[in-house]
Amino acid sequence: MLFLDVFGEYNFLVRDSLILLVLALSVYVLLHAGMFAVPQVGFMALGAYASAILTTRTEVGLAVSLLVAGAVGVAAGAVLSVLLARLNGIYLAISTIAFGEIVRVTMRNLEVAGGGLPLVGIPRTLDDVTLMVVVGLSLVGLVRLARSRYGQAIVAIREDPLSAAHQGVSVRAYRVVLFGLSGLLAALAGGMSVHLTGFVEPGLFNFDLLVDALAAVVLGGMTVVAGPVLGGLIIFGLPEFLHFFAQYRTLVNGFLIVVVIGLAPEGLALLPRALVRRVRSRRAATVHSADAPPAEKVEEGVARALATGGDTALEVRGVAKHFGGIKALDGVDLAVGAEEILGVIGPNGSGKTTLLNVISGVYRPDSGSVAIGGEDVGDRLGRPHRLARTGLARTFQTIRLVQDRSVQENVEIGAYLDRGAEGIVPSILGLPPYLRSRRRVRREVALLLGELGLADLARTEVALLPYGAQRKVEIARALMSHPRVLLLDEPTAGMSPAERDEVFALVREVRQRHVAVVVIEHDVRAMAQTCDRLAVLNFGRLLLVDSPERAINSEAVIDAYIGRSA
Amino acid sequence: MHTSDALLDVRDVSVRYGHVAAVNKVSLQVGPGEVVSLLGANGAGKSSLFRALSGLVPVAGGEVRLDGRPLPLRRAHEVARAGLVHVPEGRHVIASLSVEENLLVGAGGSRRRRGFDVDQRIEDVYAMFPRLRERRAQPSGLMSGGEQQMLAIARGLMARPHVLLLDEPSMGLAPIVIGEIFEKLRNRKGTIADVAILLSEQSSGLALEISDRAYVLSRGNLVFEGAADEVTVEVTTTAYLGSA
Amino acid sequence: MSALTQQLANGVALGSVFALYALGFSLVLANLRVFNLAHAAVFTWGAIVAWRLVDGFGIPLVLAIPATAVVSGLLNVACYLLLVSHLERRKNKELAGFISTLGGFIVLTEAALLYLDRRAVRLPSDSFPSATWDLGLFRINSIQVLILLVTVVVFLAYRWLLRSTSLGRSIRTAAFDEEVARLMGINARGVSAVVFFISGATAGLGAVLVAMAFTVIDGKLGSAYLITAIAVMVIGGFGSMSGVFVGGILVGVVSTTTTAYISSSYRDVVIFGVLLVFLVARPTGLFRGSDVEERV
Repeated sequence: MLFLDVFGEYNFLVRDSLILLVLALSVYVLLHAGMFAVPQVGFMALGAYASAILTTRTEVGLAVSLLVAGAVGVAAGAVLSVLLARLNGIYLAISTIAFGEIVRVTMRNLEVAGGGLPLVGIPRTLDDVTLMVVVGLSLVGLVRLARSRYGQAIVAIREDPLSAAHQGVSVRAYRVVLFGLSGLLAALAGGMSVHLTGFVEPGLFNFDLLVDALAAVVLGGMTVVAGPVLGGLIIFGLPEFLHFFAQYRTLVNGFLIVVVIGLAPEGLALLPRALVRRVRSRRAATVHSADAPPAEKVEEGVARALATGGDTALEVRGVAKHFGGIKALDGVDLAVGAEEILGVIGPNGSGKTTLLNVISGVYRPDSGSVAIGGEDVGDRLGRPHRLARTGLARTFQTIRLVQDRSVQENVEIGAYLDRGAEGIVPSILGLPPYLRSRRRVRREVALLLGELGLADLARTEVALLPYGAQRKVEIARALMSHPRVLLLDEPTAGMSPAERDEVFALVREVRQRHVAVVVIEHDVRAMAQTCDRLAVLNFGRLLLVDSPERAINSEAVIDAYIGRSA
Repeated sequence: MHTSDALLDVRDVSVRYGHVAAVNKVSLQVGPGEVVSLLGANGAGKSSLFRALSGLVPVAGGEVRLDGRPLPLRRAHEVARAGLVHVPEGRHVIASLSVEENLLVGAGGSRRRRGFDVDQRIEDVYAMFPRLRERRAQPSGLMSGGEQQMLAIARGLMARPHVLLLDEPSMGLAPIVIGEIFEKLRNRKGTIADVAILLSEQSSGLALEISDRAYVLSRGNLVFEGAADEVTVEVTTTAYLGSA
Repeated sequence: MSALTQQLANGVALGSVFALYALGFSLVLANLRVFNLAHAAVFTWGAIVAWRLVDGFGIPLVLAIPATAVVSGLLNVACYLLLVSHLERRKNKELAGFISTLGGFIVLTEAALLYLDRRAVRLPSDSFPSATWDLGLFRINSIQVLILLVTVVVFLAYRWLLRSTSLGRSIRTAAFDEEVARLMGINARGVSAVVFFISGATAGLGAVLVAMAFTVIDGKLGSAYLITAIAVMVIGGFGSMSGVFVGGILVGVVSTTTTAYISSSYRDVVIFGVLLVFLVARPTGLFRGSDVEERV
């Protein structure tokens, strides 16, 4: 079936552009996850040559050829990501560019690949149905992926990998999978292109091709599937229709890239939305206080929390951590009960944040142990995404939400671990288990937002909210995972007094959900009103843990803070 | 003090992050040769104020004058060259440079500068901080916290500031080391450190001992100003631990 | 044996050019953390400018060389101002900078291709004296001597600059902690511009030498050497001057010996094979750009 012939003299261009669209999508797969890697041309070459060699030496058909190409791509992607696991940023980008060159050069020297000469005689069996199916499946698959919990996890990784890890997302695993997916798409593009043109040579897979694909994604936008589509149209499709332009098209592409990344970095596909956002001024959204009637508790979550052994939600023993020569934590012992609010106070530099960082896995302690719900977490120390599975949640000193998404979407990511029923296949195909789980999560989110007085803001973009509301959203997100322990690091930093009071009220309410809370704050008066006990740190050591009145009035504490006697 | 005598004259300065005021219409002055303490709990706004004065963050209102002239706010390197030098909290020595190189950078880079002899200033620094002389050629990143703090202060002094902003020099240091540093500051007459200093501290005891006057910040607002010996324990406890 | 030493000698000369190219690149990357892809195009334009001056205006090479360096430096500063400086406060400035300079690279390379009408040009062969000396173990010609000399001088100049001058200290300070640099009276933007100038001037110098040695200049000159320069930086070690120098010589020698003893088509395989090994086993390269050593 060659129905694309309807485009007459442009029919090759259309088919070629569709194939390049798949390549652009493979670039998008990595960039939209914030992974600065561009190995796609190398994957495309591997897929192309796999198909070419296979079909010039055997009698396999198109489907098998593409299947093999795809498999080669997936394998190459997965292996490459493991090899380059320790690299990030610029170094990762450079390594992947070099990978592309290595593939090209290798193909140029392999006898079986033609030894530098074009390999011809490849069966031109690419029919338009297959082409459209691949393109269609890729687009639909990626769109559905974006809507699933995996897509939400990817957005979280892009925005803030550390925060994503604390929602239970294994960044390393996602990297391997995304590299594999990118490899799959690029290799398929390669396989299809050789079955379109009938020949292949190493020189096709050069830096220029990468630049074109990258340009398409950048211009259109690297965070939405529509981006590469729009960008592909501009880069691959448009110039041919504007003949006089054609000579300067590369020049104009380059210029557009600079302009877009400078002025509209989200890409042209999102330009309308970006303009609207800039025109709209920040809404001072009023945040209702939390005196909505307590709604039904979500039974499963509470039941799980109640099923913990014993009454101690969190136990820290002998934890020590030093950086260089400085002892940030010098043997700290702490126990927090299942419905207790423990405040941690102390002067600047006393180790409060380091303590939380050790508990939540940002750092591995040098010595000591941590137990959550009575179970020692052992080798999960230093791995936030694994600690998240034991029932630990936290917020950081800075707000770590996905700023350009709604409150609803941000809180949903908190249920990431809870949505195991949404496997990858049910999610992409929209099967009943996925739909049921989705509905359940949405209901839970709505309920929670209602309880916290955030219901009106569910669809509001987080970036438009005042600090106080954003912090509440963060706490809501943390609560979605039904944690046993919630760590709050200076939740009211930078807030007005009214906002502060609301957050402290929320902390008191959280306790009723059978969650142990550990909160660091500087407003000692508010802490005294809110916390059951206060732990005072200084120079990495615990000075005392006691009731708020006794703690505040103790000599040791006043000295530590005010340094009356130095 | 009369604002006309002030080397550093801060009037009704506010600093905002988003729509929250970290510093709310604060006024203070520092006169020649004085040490003035700026006290307050964490989050009270001390560092935000310093960062605004030195040009790292924008000032949302108010005016700042040095030697009677308005400061080129927002261009931090020009503020430093105008004579207002900020020694940031956390020391921030340039670890890849040696001790002496750090000092040279503080002086504006070259060994020969019109107006003053850099070598002499370096000698003055070593006279005040002998331990830095011992380590003059070593990479500064290898020194202890206390030594790094001394280097950070010395580096600030190399620029011959009119006013030195010292941001929580005691943070993260052991008590003995803190005592040592404050001792040197106390005996600064005639040394290179004999300049006007605005000292921000959480821990008020030592700071007040070496200060002439003090201001107390609480949640971005100025809640007290007066002579150092007027700052009683009650004043600070109320500001830090009690009601705002 | 003499054949091997000849290849080594040729390799050292070739490698010196690679080293010069990578040096400028590395200076900006290590100190400003910007992967300036436009550097490749600045290199190309350096060669074109030199050709214009010598072939078009008849300016003697000895004057054209410094002029080219200056023009290339200024071109690179323009790249900084137009492509990089407005992205400095961005959250993902590394990626944004990469893409922006990619755009600049595309524009400048296309401009070069259009300017040359997609043809190749050459420096007039009489523009420099060509002498050959036989040193027993190997032969070298005057251009190779010049290349080696210039490279050594440039590296020494970099070392002197970074270690012993006030500007060098300012560069190292701003590279380590930009905010603190500003607090110490350093104009961070000005320093960045100077770093880009030096980087561009180095590229221009390298380009003229390449034009003299291998004569053919076309719009893709800088791109052809780009991947090799990346290999040099990965193998030698990002951010280390010694690393770039050694890496350059190493890649040059591997290049000439492979071409001579195996075949030219395997040249790239060997180089990229070594590159791959380093990427996997030791991505930081031979020499770490350590804190103590000056970061190029």
